[in-house]
Amino acid sequence: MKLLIIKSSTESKWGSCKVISPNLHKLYHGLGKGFELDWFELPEDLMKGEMKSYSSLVSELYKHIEATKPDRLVFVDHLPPPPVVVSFLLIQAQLSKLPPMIFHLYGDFTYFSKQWNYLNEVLEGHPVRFIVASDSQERLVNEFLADDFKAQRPIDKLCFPVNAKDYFYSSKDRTDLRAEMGLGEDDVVVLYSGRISLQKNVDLLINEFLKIKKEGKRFHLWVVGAFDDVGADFIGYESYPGYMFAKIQTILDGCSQDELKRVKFFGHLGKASLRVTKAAADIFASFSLYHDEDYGMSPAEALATGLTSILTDWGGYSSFASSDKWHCELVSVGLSEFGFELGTQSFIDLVENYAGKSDNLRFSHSKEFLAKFSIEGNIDVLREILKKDGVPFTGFTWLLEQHAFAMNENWSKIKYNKFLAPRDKGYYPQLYNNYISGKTKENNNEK
Amino acid sequence: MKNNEPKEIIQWSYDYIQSFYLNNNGLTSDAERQYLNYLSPFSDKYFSHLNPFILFGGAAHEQLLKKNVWMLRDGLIPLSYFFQEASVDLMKGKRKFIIHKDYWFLVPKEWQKNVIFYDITSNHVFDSNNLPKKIVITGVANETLADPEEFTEDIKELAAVFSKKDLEKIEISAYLPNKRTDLWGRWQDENIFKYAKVMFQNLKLDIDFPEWEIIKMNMDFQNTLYFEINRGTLVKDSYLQHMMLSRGAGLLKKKNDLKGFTLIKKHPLSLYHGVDIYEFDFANAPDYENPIESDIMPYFKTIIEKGTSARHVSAGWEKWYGTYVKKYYKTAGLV
Repeated sequence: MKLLIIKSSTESKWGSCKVISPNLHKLYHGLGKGFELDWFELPEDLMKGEMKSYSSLVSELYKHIEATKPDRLVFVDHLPPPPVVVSFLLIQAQLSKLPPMIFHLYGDFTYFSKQWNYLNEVLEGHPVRFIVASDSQERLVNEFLADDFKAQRPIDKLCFPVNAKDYFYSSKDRTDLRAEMGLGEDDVVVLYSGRISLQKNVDLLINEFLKIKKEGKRFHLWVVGAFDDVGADFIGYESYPGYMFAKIQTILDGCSQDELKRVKFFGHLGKASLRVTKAAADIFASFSLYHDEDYGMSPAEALATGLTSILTDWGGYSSFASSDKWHCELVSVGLSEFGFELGTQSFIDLVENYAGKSDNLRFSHSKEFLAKFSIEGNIDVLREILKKDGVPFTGFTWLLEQHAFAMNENWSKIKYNKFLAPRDKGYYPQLYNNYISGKTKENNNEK
Repeated sequence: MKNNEPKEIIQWSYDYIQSFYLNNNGLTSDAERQYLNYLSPFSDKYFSHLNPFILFGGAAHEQLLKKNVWMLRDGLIPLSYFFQEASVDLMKGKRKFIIHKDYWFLVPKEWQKNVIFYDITSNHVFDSNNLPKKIVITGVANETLADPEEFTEDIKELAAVFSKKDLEKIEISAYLPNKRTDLWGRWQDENIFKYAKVMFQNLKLDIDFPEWEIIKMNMDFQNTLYFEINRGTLVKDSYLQHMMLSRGAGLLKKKNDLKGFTLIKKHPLSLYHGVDIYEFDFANAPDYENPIESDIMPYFKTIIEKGTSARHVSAGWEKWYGTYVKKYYKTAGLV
């Protein structure tokens, strides 16, 4: 099968996509026998270029398609936005002359809703498939698909794979860093890694961590990552640079000296140092409720090092839940008239009762997780997806247009919008109830 | 059966309100907007409990009455104008204005009890013994932050810290946005290449000029020396400096410190940098004649303001005042 894969000519500016894109590219390279790969690069900011420049690039792409006649046109990266490329392409090309298209969808699907809505006008009847990274993202995208189209199952699931060469468990790394930090057997390290921004709720994590008090053990919280003030643009709240730091500093100002010694900020760390930090920690925790959390690369990399994890039942995080092959529990998430409701007591219970993990168990959890979520572990999954026929596109529903309108209205005004705010009424639950799986331990116990 | 476990509520509307009230800088006049927009991103806002604020023309007095602490990020000209024009109401109570320590000489006697001083510090400091991996140079390619002579002086000062061999090893990039008009005048032809030439001649030829979009998305500036070519005429504490330092960049080691300052508090602004707050011993300060306190200033101001029908930042008063104040203090060796 001949694949023409369109990728960005530059590295993504988004932290997680700096990892996701190269890993997906490696996954395609791993397809091997039976697949012929042809890569075509387009600049990430295609839309911002001079009209002559981008039209000549897209024209080149069309000529390339005509000359090579691929069986599938694959849009692997999130930028340039695939619907923009397709729209430009169809100014010059006849739809019937284009091969079936495969779109990898990212968390920014809702952000680029206006652009995805373009496809309604240009792609009708053309065979397409969408690939999403998690069940919750599938539910969310399905919300925008017409029933007849949805019934033909045009969405496939393929995780954003972890590179097992970058993230694995090393006993030596653990021993060395813990010795350097002066930690013994009774020290339990809870780790958060990722952006420290409003919707990631690191402030709540610190507050909940400070409630943990159990005799005989000493608990530590390590926070790795850069402060980021993206705010919650979805609801029209743009945070000022420095706000998150000041917010967390206010919490730390109320801490005792002992508590301050146990809460450590590492700032941004490179891949190798991050792996070592993950090896040295005991529990990974994240209370993220980020509106574009379609996957969760940071928890995935933590689980690849065999870390016990506790995550919000939110977006892609829910896909990682397991209590046998590896250990990942979910904190319940609900929406009430007051906003989000999080069952954080389960986090406190898990940390307080953490009994430690032997090296063997840690290796085993790492191995089992990587078998399902690594590049190598997903080659066959991708092969099967690519073999499937495309489903004739019948368009997105009116809901995507409504969503695009609401979003663009909001971003242009940067004003708090109650209608879009997280609570049990208005627009938010209609879309984001899809991000709550309900697969928490407490729910299972109730059943 | 429903689980009765207590839940934590998350409401980001609270953050919206907090941020709104704590950073409501109240841009009330067109003059302020023009000034701030022109100097963006250097003049962009950032958040801190010290209420960092940029004023211009004394137009924000009502806002200034609302809080007791203000960290004024302004440079020489707006500050001198502020101390000349600001209402005495602002001096009542415990209100403190924190200005950059370089401008101690601007504070009139009646203001001294209300003014303390700041300096921006970084956890990372570079010099010839501690080389950065990268140097990021910023400034504006016209006369608003530094004129061409000052630009050249500053680049030569940077070049003097490191050897040619060291500079070859260090990656250098520069961000010098070119604004189309001069803040203090009509459009004028500005040869931006002369700024690049100064860098090529004194540092090296291999200098990268990244776009702002690329710079602002980079979250990691560790092992990077941030070097801003800004004589503080308009904005002293720039947002670009705040952004880079908060993402791990460091500053050049300072040569010597001003005497008469006593450190009273350290306030963090990020994991990597913060503000040192000082008191100044005005009683033992050196003598100097302050031109903005002289009788001739109000006279000049009246003449010029009457002749300016539409008051805005490019108006004659600001241009004349700015040039006069800057030249005066420069000649006196104070800036």
